[in-house]
Amino acid sequence: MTAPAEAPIRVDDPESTESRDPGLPWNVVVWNDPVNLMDYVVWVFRRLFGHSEQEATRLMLAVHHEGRAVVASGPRERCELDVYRLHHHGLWATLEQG
Amino acid sequence: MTPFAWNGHSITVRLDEHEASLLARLPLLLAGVGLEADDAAAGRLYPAAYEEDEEADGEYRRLMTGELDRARSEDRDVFAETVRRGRYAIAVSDAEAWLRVIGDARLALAARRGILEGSDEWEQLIRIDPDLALVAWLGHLQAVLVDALADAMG
Repeated sequence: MTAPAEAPIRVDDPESTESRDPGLPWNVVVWNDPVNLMDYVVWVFRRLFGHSEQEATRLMLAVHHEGRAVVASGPRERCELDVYRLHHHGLWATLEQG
Repeated sequence: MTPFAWNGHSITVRLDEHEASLLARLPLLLAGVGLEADDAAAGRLYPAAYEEDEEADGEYRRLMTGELDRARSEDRDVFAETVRRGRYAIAVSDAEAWLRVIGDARLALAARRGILEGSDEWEQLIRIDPDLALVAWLGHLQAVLVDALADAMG
């Protein structure tokens, strides 16, 4: 079997990330990691998002038990800023739409 | 003897000479992250913001990595200027910089030992690996400092 003359090429469309459904909110996801202390993660959620200790603990436990949890939602720019602040605090965070 | 506590308006610090000299090494350790190729610590401290979109992630990194570098450099400077042996007090904002420096050092050291995800048994390795013993000791300090800062938060 030979390679097709027109091999699939990934076309990088500079607008691709802008062409998603703008109606869908963006989510900030924090992933579980084995090194950050639970109490530290709770403190970060309180410090960055102004959560109560109970809410911050609930989110931390969701990350711990489920491997990941959505910790904030909203416009893309705000979520990117949240991801930046979480990275600055050593948390493993990503953003995704939907 | 607790190394950190909230006294009502600032964070008190109590470190002996050995503890202070170990901590004083952390800014240099962190300033070296990413200087060598394939440094696992760089991957952990600068994770992808977009898991499945390389282009969006590249754009995010173009905009934010310099900002993250500057913020971490400021944290290291605050830490280096304030860490010393003895009993003294530091501002809450400085203590937050300490927390990030100690936390980043733990992440960097652990990442270089291959501890990135899904290895909750890593603490067993502490007994035979001096770098991981340092990670554990820094974890103890971080836990006490988090308690003090949580007290400051009320």
